Amino acid sequence: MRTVAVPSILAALLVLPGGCRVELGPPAQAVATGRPTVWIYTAVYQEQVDMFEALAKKELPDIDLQWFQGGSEKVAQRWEAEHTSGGSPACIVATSDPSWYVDLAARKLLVAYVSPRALDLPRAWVTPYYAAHHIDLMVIGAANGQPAPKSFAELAEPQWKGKFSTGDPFSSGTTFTTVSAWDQLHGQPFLQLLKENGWVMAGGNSAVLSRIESGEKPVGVVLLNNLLTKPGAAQIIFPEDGAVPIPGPLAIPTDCPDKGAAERVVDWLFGDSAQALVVKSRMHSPFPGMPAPDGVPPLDQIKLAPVPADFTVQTAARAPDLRARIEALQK
Amino acid sequence: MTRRILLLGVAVLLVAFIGVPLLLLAGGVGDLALALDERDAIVNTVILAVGASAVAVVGGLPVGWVAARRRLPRALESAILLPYAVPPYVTTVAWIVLANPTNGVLTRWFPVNVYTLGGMIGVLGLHLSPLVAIAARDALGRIDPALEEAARVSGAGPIRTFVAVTLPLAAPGIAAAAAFVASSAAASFGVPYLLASSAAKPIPVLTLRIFRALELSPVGGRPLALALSLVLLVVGVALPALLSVLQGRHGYASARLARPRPAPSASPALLALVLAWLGVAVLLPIGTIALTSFAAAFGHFDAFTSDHWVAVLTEPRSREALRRSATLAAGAATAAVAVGTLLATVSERTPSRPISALVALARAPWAVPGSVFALGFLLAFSQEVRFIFADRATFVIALANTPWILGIAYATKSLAVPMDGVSAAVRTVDRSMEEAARIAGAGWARTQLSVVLPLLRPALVAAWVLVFAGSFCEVSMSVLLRGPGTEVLGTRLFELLSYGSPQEASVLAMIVVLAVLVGGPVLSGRPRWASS
Repeated sequence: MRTVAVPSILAALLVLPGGCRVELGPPAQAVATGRPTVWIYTAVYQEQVDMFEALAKKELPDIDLQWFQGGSEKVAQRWEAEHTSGGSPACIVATSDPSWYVDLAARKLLVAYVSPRALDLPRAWVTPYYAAHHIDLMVIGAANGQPAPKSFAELAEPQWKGKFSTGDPFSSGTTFTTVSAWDQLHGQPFLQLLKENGWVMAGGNSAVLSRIESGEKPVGVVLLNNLLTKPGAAQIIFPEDGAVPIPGPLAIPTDCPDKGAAERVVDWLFGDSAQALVVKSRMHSPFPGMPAPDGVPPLDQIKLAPVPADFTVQTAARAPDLRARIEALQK
Repeated sequence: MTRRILLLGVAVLLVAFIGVPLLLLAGGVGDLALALDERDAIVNTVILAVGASAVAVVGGLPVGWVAARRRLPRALESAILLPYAVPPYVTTVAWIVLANPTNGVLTRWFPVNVYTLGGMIGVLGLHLSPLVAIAARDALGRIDPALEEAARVSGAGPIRTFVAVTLPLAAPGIAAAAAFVASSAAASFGVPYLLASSAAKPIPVLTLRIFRALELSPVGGRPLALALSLVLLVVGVALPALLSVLQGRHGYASARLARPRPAPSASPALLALVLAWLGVAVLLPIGTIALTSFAAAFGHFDAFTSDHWVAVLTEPRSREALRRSATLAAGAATAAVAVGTLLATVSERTPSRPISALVALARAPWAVPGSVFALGFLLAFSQEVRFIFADRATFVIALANTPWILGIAYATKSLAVPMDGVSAAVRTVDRSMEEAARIAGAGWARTQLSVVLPLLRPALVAAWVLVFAGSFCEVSMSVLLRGPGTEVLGTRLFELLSYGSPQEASVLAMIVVLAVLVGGPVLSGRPRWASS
């Protein structure tokens, strides 16, 4: 008996302190804390999180910032599961899937807060519930030394048959936004033409870049940030029919336990030093006049796809129909 | 008494860490008719599961036999585990480089296309074949050689002896491994994700449909995702139960210990057989990963650099992730083997309805995709649970964002591995040995520690190694459950593969390979007779 029970008790004693604690005193007193904690759930890459974290330690020393980093869809899944189970600790959500914010706002799960600094943003990038903290661009990548299409529309032409790929619109929010832009700008038959021309939709943006780099699919529709992260891996082509802007919105969910602290962090993220980090992270700042990432022109010198100002809202509204049509194309 | 206390403790843990998450998930299951509408996905999943199991048996059984009956060089013995130890999404990227239809290295000489259902079956079957090889090695190693010798003395040739004596005795272990591979393949996500959607005509399988439902709409898609998970769950729990019933009718047990016997060195022909399997399952994909880790440009093997190695080895986050993953995987493997062994031995020796229910509960997480199980964990443990005592003290269970939630998730997800392996081993041990110990005055605990566990040692070690290997690079649960400062190897690998550099991801994968080659002989041990 002792030979089994003693190790079991020891194991339990070792395990319990990890996930459990005892707080002495009345419960209200026990939960009181010092520095406010603000959780940020973000889809920006870990390397960028590290930079923001280091800057925040200097500029927001009285707030304890905690980060959960994952893909846009993983962030959404985690937040929704926590919300269902009684409330997410996330005070700021910052992903690359604008449709999710439209959905959250429609469900009244976002705090109506516009940072004073965000009032300087172009109209297309700000709403009462969320505002773009950074802008990425969907462009064309092509294998080095190989011919490349000049526009998205050209991908439907015979010389590119079987030679191009995109991410999977069902698992990559940025690809879905791009396909939605094509659908609006080039008309519904364009997607069918692309499919007939051997359109492969698989994986995320990194998978597209890997296919370009290896030569498996020498042309790809990919985020500028991915191309800039691996300089020299592929040619960057800003399409003549306009790069598709992918805003990275920031919002405060209503579940946030300390909205005052969250608003301070949002203001800081729209401030000059944090926006300079956006640029250093190889993305464009949405603020007019901000410099561009190294090696690419500023936003106002790049031809953007002429989508309407409420494109994100329209995309969210049309999403079920568009998904059904993409799914039909894949069969 | 000891057994009851332990079982009660295990029951509480299983209900808390498996029952509650699954129950919360079950609350959101949508219309099952929706799941049954996914006929193509269901049919493809069945083909994938059966096909991968067949490939794993065809590849793993002969290797397991050679490993059990012949002395192999230590490096080869360790290499048997490699296909399973390297994360499947890394080997799949290697297979894409080798066998994509456009410019695959092998495609120049062979008519292969990895973007097909056959390609998925091959990649998954090879990845899972060590499960069969190790199960076969252990099952064959436990057989009393006197039985085979008796058959040979009675005039049976080697083939008849193998078919009439050896195979039936080893069948429970091999069949359990084959069923296990089938349910693993059905619940696998990484390989189908990378291969199925690049096919000329995308190949729907259940895990991809679940993924898509959740990605499309984390809330709206959840009912369909959970309904589809339920289909996988039913298959995953029902298949081993069915097997157990069938084996119950045709079981064999050995009344004696497998006595040590000298193992002859493998003949050149047998060595060639093992090397051929290792060539396809290990050398091709891992050789490609090794080359990729030095490639200046991904997919091009004409210019090489050590920059990726320097970048990974000098970067603290990868080192920290490696250390944390090793600790968590070792803890998870130890916990899973302890709990799995208890359940397996009790369910084999004193079956009852409550025990069967516990076994089914313990097996359930393996049959559910990791991302779905992790969702259940988030639903159950994302909030602190507070027990307030007389307004004076509060006992708080706070697992969210701690490494503990990862360790518990790894252990519970993998419980089926030791349970199935140990169950098969227990079936080949005659009850008379335990009865003799009990008659000699030993209690239940003493009998288990002194008689049963030593006999099960190879199966326990094999199970520990398999759980460790599976947890060491786990991704699908880790990406959802990890918190700040709890980055693990799987999430680091996934991040490098997804956003950074496939070459740096290959460096990390090669470090795992080297760890297995170095640590394998220490961890897996060799059958006692092999070293005599």
